[in-house]
Amino acid sequence: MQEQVKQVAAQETVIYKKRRQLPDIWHRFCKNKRAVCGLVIMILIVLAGIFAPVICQYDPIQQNLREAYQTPSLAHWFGTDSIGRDLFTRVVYGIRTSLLCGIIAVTISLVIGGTLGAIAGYYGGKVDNVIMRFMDILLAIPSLLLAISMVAALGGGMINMLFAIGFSSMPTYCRTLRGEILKIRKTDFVEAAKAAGAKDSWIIIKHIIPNCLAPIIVRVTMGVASAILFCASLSFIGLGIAPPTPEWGQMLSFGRDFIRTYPHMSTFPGLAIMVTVFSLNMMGDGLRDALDPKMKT
Amino acid sequence: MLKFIAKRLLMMIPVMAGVIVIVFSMMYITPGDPTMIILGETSTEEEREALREDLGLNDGYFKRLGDFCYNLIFKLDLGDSYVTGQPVMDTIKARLPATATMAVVSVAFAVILGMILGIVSAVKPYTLLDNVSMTLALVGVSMPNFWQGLLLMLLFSVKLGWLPATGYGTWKHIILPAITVGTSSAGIIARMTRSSMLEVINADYINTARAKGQKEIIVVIRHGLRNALIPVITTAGLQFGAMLGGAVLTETVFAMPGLGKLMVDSVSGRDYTVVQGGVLVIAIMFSLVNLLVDILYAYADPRVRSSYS
Amino acid sequence: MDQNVILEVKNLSLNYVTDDGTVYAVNDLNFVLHKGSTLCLVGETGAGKTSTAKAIMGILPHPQSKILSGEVLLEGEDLLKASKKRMQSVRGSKISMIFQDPMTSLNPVMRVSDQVAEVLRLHKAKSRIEAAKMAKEVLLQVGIKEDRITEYPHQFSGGMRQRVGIAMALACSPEILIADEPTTALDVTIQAQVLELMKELKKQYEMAMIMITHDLGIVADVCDYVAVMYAGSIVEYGDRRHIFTNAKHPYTIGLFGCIPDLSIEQEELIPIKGMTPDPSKKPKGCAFAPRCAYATEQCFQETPGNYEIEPGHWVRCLQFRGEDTENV
Repeated sequence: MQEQVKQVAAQETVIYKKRRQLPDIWHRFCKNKRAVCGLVIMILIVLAGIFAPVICQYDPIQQNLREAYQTPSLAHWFGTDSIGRDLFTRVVYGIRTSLLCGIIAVTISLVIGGTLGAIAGYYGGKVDNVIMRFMDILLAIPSLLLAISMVAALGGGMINMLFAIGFSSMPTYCRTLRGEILKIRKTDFVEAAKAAGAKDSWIIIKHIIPNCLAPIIVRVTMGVASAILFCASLSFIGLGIAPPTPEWGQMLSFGRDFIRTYPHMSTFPGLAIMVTVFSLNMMGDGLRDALDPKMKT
Repeated sequence: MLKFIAKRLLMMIPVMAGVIVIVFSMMYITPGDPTMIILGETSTEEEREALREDLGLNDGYFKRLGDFCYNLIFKLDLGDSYVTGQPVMDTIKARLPATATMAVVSVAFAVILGMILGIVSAVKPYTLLDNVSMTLALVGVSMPNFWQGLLLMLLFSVKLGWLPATGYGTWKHIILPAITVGTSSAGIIARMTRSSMLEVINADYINTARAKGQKEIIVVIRHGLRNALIPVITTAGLQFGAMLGGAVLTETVFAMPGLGKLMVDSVSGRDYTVVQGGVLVIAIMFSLVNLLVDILYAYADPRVRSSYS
Repeated sequence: MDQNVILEVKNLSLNYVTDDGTVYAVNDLNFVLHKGSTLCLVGETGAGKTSTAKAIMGILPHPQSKILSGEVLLEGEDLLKASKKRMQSVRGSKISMIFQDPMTSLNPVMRVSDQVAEVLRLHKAKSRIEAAKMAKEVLLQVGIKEDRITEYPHQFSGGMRQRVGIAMALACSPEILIADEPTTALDVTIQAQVLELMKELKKQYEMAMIMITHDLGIVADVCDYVAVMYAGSIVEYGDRRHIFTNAKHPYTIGLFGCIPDLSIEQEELIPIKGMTPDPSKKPKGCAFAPRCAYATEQCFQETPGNYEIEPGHWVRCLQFRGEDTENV
């Protein structure tokens, strides 16, 4: 009898541990072909970004008017733009700009929105009400528009643009964290920790944050994707990253003037945005399924 | 139902008030001297000072906010454009139809395409068809819409010559921008429809319907879809906001004289009263659409309906 | 063939294929259902009772489940081989089913009257108006007040919803009613009312009934025949008297041993020591052997057959090999 009870208990711990362990998450992630595909492309993209100077033989900024308006060839894989810069080089260097912008913008959203969401979820009551009403107000303005008007107010430039993107996409993070914390706050282990007299900060760091990591990771992956899109959008309308820094949206905006004669100038930067965002989204989908099969978009 | 609508309208008021304060404050902290834009670089300091006094720019924050709200609410006046001198309200009124038409067409496009893709995937999950349509949906979500606009323009206007590339006027001008704006929303709606359908299709009441001897297709549509659409309605409503945002880029690409293009032009021309008015009008439109969505939602879900009566 | 038999299940085996492996839900199941009688399928959660019911109805979840072998004979016609269209005309009119959880088995966005009318329109009523009229009659019959029949499920209590479920199942006066734990999700006091209603209607409609339950109180109350299921097989089958006074299978004895006194309401069975075997592993020998107090070495090696120890009383246990009148 006791033997069996032990066995059952052992079985249950195994199941419990299995769910928690990274290899298992990894295993589930690998089952999803699209997710793995996204991950592989993303790794390639990141590597290309890091080793840009090794991969590319041209300078991304230096003009070379003699080489201008070239269509794709062996020398210039993606062709050149109107002032003779190699487009492949600029697209590869653009990885650095885009990924960096995406990550910084998401970090801003996560820090501001996440903190506000955590506070709202943890303390509840009036604090919650005030924070969430503020988020409702932000949500009433379409986020791209909010970002544009913030850039208009703060002035252009990379820092302001990143802050505008980060701020305007903050409500999603706020809601995610708040929701998760509301869920966790009611669980037994948090109640137990509270009963044992643990400090709020201790409970948040030790119990709550580890338990809402999964949705945050998913949200961040997809968030970087949409931040990259945002960043390209703002640069496209001339409110983001200023030339000559290579940035895909801004390159597209230049290529747009030559759409009839030299479509390659807008095709490749667009493709670069799409592939990156697509891979990140596929990864995000896979992560969501692997981390928590029940979680929804 | 009337009570529900009234309640929702009341709930809109504080949000709108918040939007007004935020938009106004953003323009308030904007650096630069508006009088310089209005009068030009050649104006004298005295002229500018007089104009500043005249426009109330020298007043404090709260006085100006109060004036702004008073003019907006009682006179429907959003001030005059710094650049053209025209009342902002008139400019917006002139630009609104293009954007509204495009938004409505693209919502229809997104909802129809998204739902078809989503249902097809959910009915045959984990098959090739499902994989293809979900990959398509994700491509739609991931495609920057200004780029997609350019590609569509390249194909349908430059290469095939079927549709006009830029401008506004006939129904032909609406098609490409509407598709461009609607694509990413179609993708999101497709994904939402699929997951919602998959959840519903395993519900007990679907088995009940099957146990009645109902045909599978009718089970899926009458019992499955009706229930699965409830969350999709909300998603579609939220997408309307994304479309209004997307209009900014799309109208720029297609040189469409809508609100979005107006916003971009005004930001670059530092015509801040127009930016302020435009953001406000779009936020109000978005909120009204969300109200409509909530009514639809209550109509579709009797549980929500009775919680309000 | 016995004229009195309306449904016969022969050698039914089915499994579910999931990501985590194959689950053998029902293994070589046999039983007969006589006209107008009530058969109880008794067993713990996961014994394959609901899967059996769904197999009979032809509503097993489609890609995951697979029927490996067997026949489900409705008046001699094999339903497992019947066309889709034929099954649609059988479901709801010849065989209908009441589901376990009335909170989730009604469509939340349809009026209850419409949900009852739907089944009538499919099999019995000539027009929508006629269907609506008939739906109203049936709903009144199960005790739903007239002013409430156009309400939505969420406005009803659990017991009321199960009444609607019963109305839907009985609307076309089927010959067989399958009730899948119809009272498990209800309060104890409501349980008795619903059960009473079902008994009454069963008599009135002259139906045969398969009652799936794990509540022995219900078994004693309603059944004529009892089939005790364990790990996808029927381990003991007999009429009420056989099972209640002369149970032979160690599992059945264990089941009854869990109840100190039948007069006390028992929400759920206290499990016999150990746990239901993992259905994804097909064990060698008798499935119950690991938990059986009488298990011998042989029990782990040999799959027991079905032994008829007295007329109409079958036991699937090696103890009784040789004692049977006829080996199947």
